[in-house]
Amino acid sequence: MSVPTLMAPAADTAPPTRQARGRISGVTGAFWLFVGPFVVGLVMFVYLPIVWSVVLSFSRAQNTVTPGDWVGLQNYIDLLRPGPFLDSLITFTIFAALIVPLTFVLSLGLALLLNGVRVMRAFFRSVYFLPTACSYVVASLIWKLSIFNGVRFGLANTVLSWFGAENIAWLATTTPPWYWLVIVTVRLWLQIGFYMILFLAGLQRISPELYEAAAVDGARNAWQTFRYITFPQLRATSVAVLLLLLINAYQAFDEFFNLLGNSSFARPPLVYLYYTAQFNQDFGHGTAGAVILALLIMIVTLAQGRIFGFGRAE
Amino acid sequence: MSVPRTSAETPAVAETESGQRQARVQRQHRRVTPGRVVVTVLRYIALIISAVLFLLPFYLIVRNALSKDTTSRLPAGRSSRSNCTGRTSASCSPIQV
Repeated sequence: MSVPTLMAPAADTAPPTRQARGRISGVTGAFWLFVGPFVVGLVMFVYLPIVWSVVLSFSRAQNTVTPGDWVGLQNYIDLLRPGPFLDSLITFTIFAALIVPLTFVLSLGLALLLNGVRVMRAFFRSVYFLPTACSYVVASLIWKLSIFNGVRFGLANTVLSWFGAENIAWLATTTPPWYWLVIVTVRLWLQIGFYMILFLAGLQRISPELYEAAAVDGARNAWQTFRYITFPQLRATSVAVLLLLLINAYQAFDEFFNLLGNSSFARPPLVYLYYTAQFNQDFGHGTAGAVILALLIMIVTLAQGRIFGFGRAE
Repeated sequence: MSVPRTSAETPAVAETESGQRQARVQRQHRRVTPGRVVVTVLRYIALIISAVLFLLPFYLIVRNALSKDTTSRLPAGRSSRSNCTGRTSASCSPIQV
């Protein structure tokens, strides 16, 4: 009785080697069948252009995207001299200094407010998240034409007139630089909801037992609870949010382009590079600037990750 | 003789005190106080104001989409001026931007 039962597995074990081989090649084939087109697309439309840009940045490429006239680091030296590219980096720095902390604080504040209520929580969450679905171009046009249009019928000037204040040309005034208010508010409106959702997810992960323990240990008010429980527990979320905010600030383009165009007083790096490459057809300097910007983002991201310990176990 | 009895009773007493303290804290958490009501009301007021601010641009988008070009940039409830007869709003006001 036992022989057939013992023989049966033995008979099964010999062919499986061939079957497994066939199955592996089948799985490999299926893998490449599904992944292959995406890999080809990725290589053709992402990695090849990156390599092409790097090569082009070492060439004098005026009105052409074919690398040929080799100039070494000249394009980089030109850009890093005091001039419009460095000015655009200063513009970015001011923008990041305003938008990163403001978005962080406001989205955290909204998440805390929302986390503390029970009734209509889903409604408020949807309302705050709704602008994330809106296009930057549409939002910029609304800000430029309806809210901060500079005429006395504009919404912002109408509100100012209630208090007897003069009209302000929001986007044309450089002293004081009112255009920052327009640029920062449009981006705040567009992105607060998204980061609020991230914070809300982080808040809902915090165990209620920690708050009970804090209350038992004598945490008297909401500030103490926030200072010693909530904020430390949100460390991973906070670091991720800061990282995303900074990278997004580096990539600022749409609102600056739609609100200010090619104005020299507030031109972030991407707008400057767009005009250099697209309108002046100077692809050598354009790609050199793009490489510098990519390196800058990489260095800042790595440094931030190292300092704040992004991805490190808590 | 008293040493073993004390060491046996101390954890139980501490546990009871801790449990009582926890229950007291939980009771305090559940209790509706005037301060708690005020905080909740303030919280909702802040949420409603924020919601209005977040919805306002959507209102402007919809209103502008349903308005004529000459009136689309005016605040709600204000009619266009009599000299605004053109198709564009350029004749209505000196745009400063």
